Amino acid sequence: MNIPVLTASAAPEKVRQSIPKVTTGIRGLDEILHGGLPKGHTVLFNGGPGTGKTLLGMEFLYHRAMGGEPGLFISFEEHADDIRANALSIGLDTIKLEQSNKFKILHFQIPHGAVRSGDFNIQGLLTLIKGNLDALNATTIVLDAVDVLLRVFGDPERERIEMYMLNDWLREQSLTAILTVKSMAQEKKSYSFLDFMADCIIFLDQRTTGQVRTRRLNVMKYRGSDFLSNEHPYVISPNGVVLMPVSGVSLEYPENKKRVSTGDAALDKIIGGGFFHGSAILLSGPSGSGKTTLAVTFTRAACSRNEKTLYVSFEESRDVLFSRSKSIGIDLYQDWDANRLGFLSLLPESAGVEQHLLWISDAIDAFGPDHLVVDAITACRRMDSERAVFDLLLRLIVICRKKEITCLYTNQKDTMDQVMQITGDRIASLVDTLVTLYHVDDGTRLCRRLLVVKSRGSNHSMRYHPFVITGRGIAFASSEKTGEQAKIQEG
Amino acid sequence: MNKNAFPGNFKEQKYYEFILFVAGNEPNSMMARKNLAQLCEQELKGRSKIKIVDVMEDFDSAAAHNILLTPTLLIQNANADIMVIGNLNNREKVRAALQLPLE
Repeated sequence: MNIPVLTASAAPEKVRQSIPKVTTGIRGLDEILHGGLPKGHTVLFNGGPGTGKTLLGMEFLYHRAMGGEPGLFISFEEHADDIRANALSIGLDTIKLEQSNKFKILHFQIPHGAVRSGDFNIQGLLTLIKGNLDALNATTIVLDAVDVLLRVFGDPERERIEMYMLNDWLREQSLTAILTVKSMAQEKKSYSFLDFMADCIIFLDQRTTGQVRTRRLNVMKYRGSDFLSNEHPYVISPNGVVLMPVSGVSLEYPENKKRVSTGDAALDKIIGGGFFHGSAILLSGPSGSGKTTLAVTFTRAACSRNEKTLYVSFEESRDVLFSRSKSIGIDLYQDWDANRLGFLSLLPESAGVEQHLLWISDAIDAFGPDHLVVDAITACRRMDSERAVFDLLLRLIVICRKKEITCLYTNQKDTMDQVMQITGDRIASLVDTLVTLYHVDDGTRLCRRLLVVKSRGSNHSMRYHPFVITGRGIAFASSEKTGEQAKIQEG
Repeated sequence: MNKNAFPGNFKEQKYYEFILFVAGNEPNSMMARKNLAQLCEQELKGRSKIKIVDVMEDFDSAAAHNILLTPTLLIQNANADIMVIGNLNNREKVRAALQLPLE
C-alpha cells in the first residue's frame, strides 16, 4: 500500500491556522494567506496607483457576497459607475449582485471644497456606513482610498485619531474590513500608523524592468497567522486577479517510478532507463547544439504513444518548428492534427513573467497534457531579468509536479564550461535530470557531444557521448568509440 | 461708510436657512450648536432659520446630503448649498462663507 506523501495542502495549515479566516476566492491568495483573511479584523491593502488594490478588494467582497455574505463597498475616490465598469473588466458582474440586495457600491464624496471652521470628526461617515450595513445585513466591507478620506483632516495627529476611531468601530461591528491606501515611494506621507493598526497588511507593487511591467504582492504582516513570505507575482486577468505562489513544501511529490522514453533508445540507456514520468528535465547547450532536436524527438515519441504533449516555444512559430522537424524526419503535423500535440508560441517581450506563467498554466489546464516542453526558458530573460528564468521555471515545476506532468526545458548556454556554470545555478538543483550538449572541435570538424550531469534515481552514464543529427533524427555513435570519448573527457 | 468696507448693497438683507448636522452630544457638535446660535443672535437677528439634524437618529437626511463629517453646517442657497465643516469656532470663516461684511 502507498503511504500518502505530505503535500502543501495537508500539514502546515491545519496546525498553524489558529484564528478564524475567510477565503478570498482570489486564485492563489488563500494559499499565500494560509486559508484567507482574518475574520472580523482589519486588513490593509497598500500600493501605488494601478497596482489593483481596488480590484483585489472588489474580488474578495464579490466572492464573499456570492457565497451568501453580503458586502458593502465604499469608495472615497472613484465614482460607483467607474468601479462597476472596472469590476466587469475582470469578470465581476456587480450590477446583478447589487440588484439581489447582497452587495452595494457607494461613492462617498469627501467635501474637500468645504469651508473649515474648527474641529470635526467622522461620526457622520460611521452613521452612513452603519445604516447601509444594516440595510444589507453585511458582514464584510471595503473602504477604498482611505487616504483620500484622511487628507480632509490635513493634520497627522487628527488623521491618526480618526483612523483609530474608525478601526475600533469596525471591530465593534465584527466586520471583516479591507482598507485600501495609496502609497507613493516618493511621497513622504505614508500613513505608517496604519501599518501598526491593521491586523494584516498586503503590499502591492508594480515595477518596470526592461520595458516590461511586472506586479508583485507581498504580505507584510499577519497577526495570529503564518503566511507565505516573499514576493508573489500576480496578474490582473480578464477572469480576476491571479497569483502564483510557490509553497515551500510543494516540491515534495509522490515519487513516480514510471519511465518515459526520451525518444531514442540509446539515449534512454545513457540516462539510465529514460526520464521519470512527472520529473523535470533540463537540456542545456549552446545555440545549434541540438536542444530543440532532442525536444522534438521526445515530443514525437510521446505523441506516438498517444500521450499528450504541450510544446511551448519562445523561439519559433509552429510552422517553422514543424517544417524544421520534418527536415530531420520528425513529423509533428500528424500529432498536431490528431490533437495529441498542443502548441503555444509566446513572445517573451510581450509581457512579464507572471503573465506568461498564467498563459502556460491556463494552456495546461485547457489541454491536459502528460508532458510539457518549454523551448527555451532562457528566453524569459527578455521578459524582465535573469531572475525571470528562475521564477518561471520554479513555478512551472511546482505546477507540473502537482499534476504529474513531465517537463522538459531547454536552456541556452553559450559557454563551453557548462557543467561548472550550470551546477552553480539554482536552476540545476530544481531539476531531476540535467543533460548538457556540446560542440567539440576534433581538429577537422565540429562534433556533437552529450553529457548527463545528473539524473536523480538513475544509474546514468558519466561519459561524453558523440551523436549526429541526420535526415532521420538523432543517432548516437556505437559504444566502440570509447577511445574517442576518453580523449574528450581529458580535454 | 469706510473706503475698505465690503462693496455690497445691504439694503435688501438676505435671509439665511441653515441645516446643522450634529452627532448626538459629542463636544464638537455641542460647540457648533452654541456657536451657530450666537452668530444668528448677534448678526442675523430675525433673518435666519436653523434646523438641527442629529445624524445618529436621522440616517436618511445624512445620506441625502452625503454628510460624512460632523458637525457640518449647510447654508442653503438658491444656486448651490455652501458647506462649512467643523465646530464653527472660527467665526470669521463662517462669516466669509455667509458673505457677511468683514469687521
